[in-house]
Amino acid sequence: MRKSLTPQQVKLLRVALITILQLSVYFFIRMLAYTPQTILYQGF
Amino acid sequence: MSLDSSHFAIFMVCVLALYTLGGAQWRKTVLLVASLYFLVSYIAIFEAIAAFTAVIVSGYVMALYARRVGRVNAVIILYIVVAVGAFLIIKKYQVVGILLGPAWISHGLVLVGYSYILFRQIHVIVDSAQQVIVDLDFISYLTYLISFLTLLAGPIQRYQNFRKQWDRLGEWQMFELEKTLQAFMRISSGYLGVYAISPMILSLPAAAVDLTGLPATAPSITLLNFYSYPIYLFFNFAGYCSIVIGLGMLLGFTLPENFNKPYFSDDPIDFWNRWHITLSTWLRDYVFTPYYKMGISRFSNQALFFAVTGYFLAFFITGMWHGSTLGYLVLGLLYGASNAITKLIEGFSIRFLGRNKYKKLRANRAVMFVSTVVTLHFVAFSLQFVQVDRSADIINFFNQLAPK
Repeated sequence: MRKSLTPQQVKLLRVALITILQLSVYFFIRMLAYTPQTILYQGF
Repeated sequence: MSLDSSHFAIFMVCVLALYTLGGAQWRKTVLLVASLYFLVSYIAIFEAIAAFTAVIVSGYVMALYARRVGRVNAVIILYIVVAVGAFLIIKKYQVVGILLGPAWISHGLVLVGYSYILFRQIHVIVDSAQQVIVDLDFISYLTYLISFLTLLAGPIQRYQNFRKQWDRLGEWQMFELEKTLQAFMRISSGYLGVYAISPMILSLPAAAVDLTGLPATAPSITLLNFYSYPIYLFFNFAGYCSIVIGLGMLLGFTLPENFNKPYFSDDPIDFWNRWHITLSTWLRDYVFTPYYKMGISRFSNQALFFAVTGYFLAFFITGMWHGSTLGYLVLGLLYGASNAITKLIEGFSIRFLGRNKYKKLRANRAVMFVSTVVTLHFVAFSLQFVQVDRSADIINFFNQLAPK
């Protein structure tokens, strides 16, 4: 019988997948050779 | 030390590794040494280190004095005035140059993070005077002021909040699965915002010029600039806050949230309740509230006047604080005026329509949609004054206004 994931496990899986997705998009954009701006918000 | 540099990555790995090795005292030491190292990576010249030392030590002495006297007296007010004056000179505010002469702002001193340190320091002194802060020690105070998490642009955490977490560092369980995953989600979303999306958006107008061959002054490029800059600024700043909030989660600190969908605000006051929230609440507590209370304690029937002028003052300071050029002066005037007008409209609407009708009006979707669009465009418009340095245009404008 297939064992289903607990709500807690689903939540953790979701967080992990979002992190992976965000990092993938980050590296993809950086790979496209956009010059990274290190200018922070003018607040400092 | 840029947050996307290998230097910072090695720095963070070292901090986390060292953090696992000991208890509360050890972790506090690691945090303090790491913060000092981070600070010195920006200000490795003797004059800057000496100036920072003077600022930090004098603030601590004043906080101890404030706690002893138990009220905000003339000495404390004088210290705050001098500190703000020093801030304006150190940050080379053009207004200082115009009023006092260019020699005042032609120095080479750069104090990175001083804007935030000043606000934290004023908060510690005032709260010590009001006995809200009762347990101030130098090490926690120093780490609070220069913490590498919030030195450059992070949320303005309150000392009481910091201290509570600082005192519990020994109990902090590192690398618990859920907390760690949540932290990495925040950190990755921050890096995506600051170092991928925001530079991409900032480069859109230039890319459009390259692709279409249109001049940079063409209406369509100007329009692209108009909309892209506020979006860039959001991803840049909110992203930075996400990174430090995530890093804080790994180190046992829950930093306050600083953004809540700001471009969905339905008026300028609402905007400042959603954008750089910790700055707005700081200004509410240390500028607006004291001014308002002082006003209505003397003229109790002038509540609306003091509310409106209080909003103007607080948000004028907000705009000015963000930068030293004359563009920020205009930004301050616009922020101040828009918030004051919003408060005035609210006051008059309640007076003439009654509170219930006013509430109904605010619940009307069409009205709120129009209001949100207008607010968004107003914010985008006001940011045009700081997107590029328009000081020369502003001086020209005021020269034309001056009597011939």
